[in-house]
Amino acid sequence: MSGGSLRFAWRSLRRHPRRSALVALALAGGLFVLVFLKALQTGFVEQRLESGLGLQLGHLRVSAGDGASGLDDVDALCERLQARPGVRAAAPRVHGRAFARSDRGSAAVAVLGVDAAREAAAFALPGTLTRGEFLGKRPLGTLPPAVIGEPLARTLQVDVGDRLALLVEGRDGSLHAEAFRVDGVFRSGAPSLDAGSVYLSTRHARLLLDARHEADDIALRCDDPLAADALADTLRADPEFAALRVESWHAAAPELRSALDMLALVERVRTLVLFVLVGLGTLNAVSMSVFERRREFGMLLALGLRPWAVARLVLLEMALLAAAGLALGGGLAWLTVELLAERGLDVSALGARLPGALEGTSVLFPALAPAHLFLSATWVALLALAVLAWPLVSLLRLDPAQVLRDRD
Amino acid sequence: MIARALLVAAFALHAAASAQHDDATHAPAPTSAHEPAASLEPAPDASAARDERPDDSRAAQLLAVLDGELFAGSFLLAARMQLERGELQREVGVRVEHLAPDRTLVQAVGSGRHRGTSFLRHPDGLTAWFPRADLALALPAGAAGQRLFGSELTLEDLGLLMGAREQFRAEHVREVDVDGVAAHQLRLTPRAPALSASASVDLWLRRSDAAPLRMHVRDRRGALLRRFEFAEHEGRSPRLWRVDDPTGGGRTELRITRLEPDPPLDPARFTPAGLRR
Repeated sequence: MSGGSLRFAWRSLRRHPRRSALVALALAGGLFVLVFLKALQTGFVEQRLESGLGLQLGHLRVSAGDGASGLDDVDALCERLQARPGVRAAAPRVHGRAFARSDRGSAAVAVLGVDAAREAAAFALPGTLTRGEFLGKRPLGTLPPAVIGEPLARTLQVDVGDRLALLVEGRDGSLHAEAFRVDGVFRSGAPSLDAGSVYLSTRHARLLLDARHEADDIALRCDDPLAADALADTLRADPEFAALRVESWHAAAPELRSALDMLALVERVRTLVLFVLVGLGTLNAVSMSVFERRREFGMLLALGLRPWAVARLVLLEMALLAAAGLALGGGLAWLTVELLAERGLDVSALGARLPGALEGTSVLFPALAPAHLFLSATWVALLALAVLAWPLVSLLRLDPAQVLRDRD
Repeated sequence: MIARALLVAAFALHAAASAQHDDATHAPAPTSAHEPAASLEPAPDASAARDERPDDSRAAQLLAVLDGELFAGSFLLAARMQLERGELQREVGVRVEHLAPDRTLVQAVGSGRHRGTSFLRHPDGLTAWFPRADLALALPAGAAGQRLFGSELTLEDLGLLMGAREQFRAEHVREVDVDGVAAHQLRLTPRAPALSASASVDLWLRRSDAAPLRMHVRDRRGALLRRFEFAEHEGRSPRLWRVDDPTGGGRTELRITRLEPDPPLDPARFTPAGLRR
């Protein structure tokens, strides 16, 4: 490509600034919408995964295999699991159901026995305490600690320091009740967790439920929740963990998996529709441009320029417009996402309610991976060049004598 | 799991009903979790459909003989239960104080997590006392079908064998041989099926003296829930009860160590408020 062609193309664009700006803005707008919507969706998925899995559920669950009912020597097992690439943290759990009763209220709850330090390292819920401690050390002679959500505290009409009784059907099938002291109150933003969970230490949960093993399972937090299935396969294939059962969150929370799959499908349809709209807009502008410049192109051909040289000129003009449009659209999208990634986008102002596990918040934090930006820009550039196909074919068939005669 | 969920739901509903009752009567807020005003509501069984037909006369006669020696009056029974289920092996001491057919107190004694836990059958229903939680709780009728202190026995089973059969209708089925011993087979069916944990109970009584030999408890589909074998009889009273759960694989052996008719019992203990004494 010669410098002369580039200068010629640039001059042609400048001769029709409104038309050039229109095409560049169409491409910029298309890329902006594409990237911004993708960033919103990525942010939503990350938030959804964090609220659905990062608060409490975990990305992988490791339990005893071969019919055993629980895990022992869990500290060593947690360390071994944490040493695996892709595993960020491991936390042992004891699970049960209970009937919580205070002096002034009662509720059915899920009991979760946890190791406070490991839980805080692995999951976000301990960080959502609004008052009190997360299963702190108890003074001798006091009741064992329990941590509950704010709505449950309201239902039971208790606060930090108050007494709470938990009635369970123990693992031996018997009814049993123990008293606890409310040690802390949390507000995670996940309604079901806040209203129906009681956190105990693993030791006290085992005593309450009559669990004979140190833990029922170990919840793992991974570096990449979307790669949990692959990590589960790796762990299963490892002879060191052959006796264990490893499940990814895909199996533990199939409704979340379905929701995300549906979201991905919607994104594909939306992208396709967006491409068609941007493509049609660009095609319209380019076709009009080529049609309006038929006499100009006819003159060039009559002066001896080869048809392919004229086509190359048009392609060059489009490449310049695409570069400008993509730089503008990509830059704007990146700036907007950067701004909103810190502050968030409160969609309640738009009358929108976030579904599922994000019911507790209405603020979305968009997230943009550079790869997505470049990929989207590449697709839009290819689209811009693709829509030139039809105008170029008509240009190559142009008869200069006919064009000049028509004009006369 | 389903049974567990249903039980928790039943407790929740029962507690909600209690709370509503408290609101309706403007009862003052109780000062502790065991306060009777909040926790000792009767089980909601008043409206259940009941089979009011009297017992089959032959069955009634046999049961009267069974109860006549001991269970017609008050008694005190102490026993040790050996529990075995899967990895679990445990011994639990049990004390049963029977004041009248509608007033029985069952308490775990000795050491262990159930120590002091008591269940009281009284005219208004069933109340549990959990000393470790300082909690007295009116239980729904279905809770009588829970495993007693983790054993294969339930409160309902104990009641059936100790004269508390007012919730069941008895009929004579046939005369049979039980391991070479001539016996009568009786069938007990709950008068209000919705309020009972079992759907039918077959009881085999020795023909010579109406001593219990065997008992089978079945669910609504006819599946066997628990099998009882009674041995080491002293008079009509078997001192050794062997219970097993054919589906869950658990076994319990209950050995009666003390059986005292007409002991000095304090009637005040046989009320929900008296449980804490």
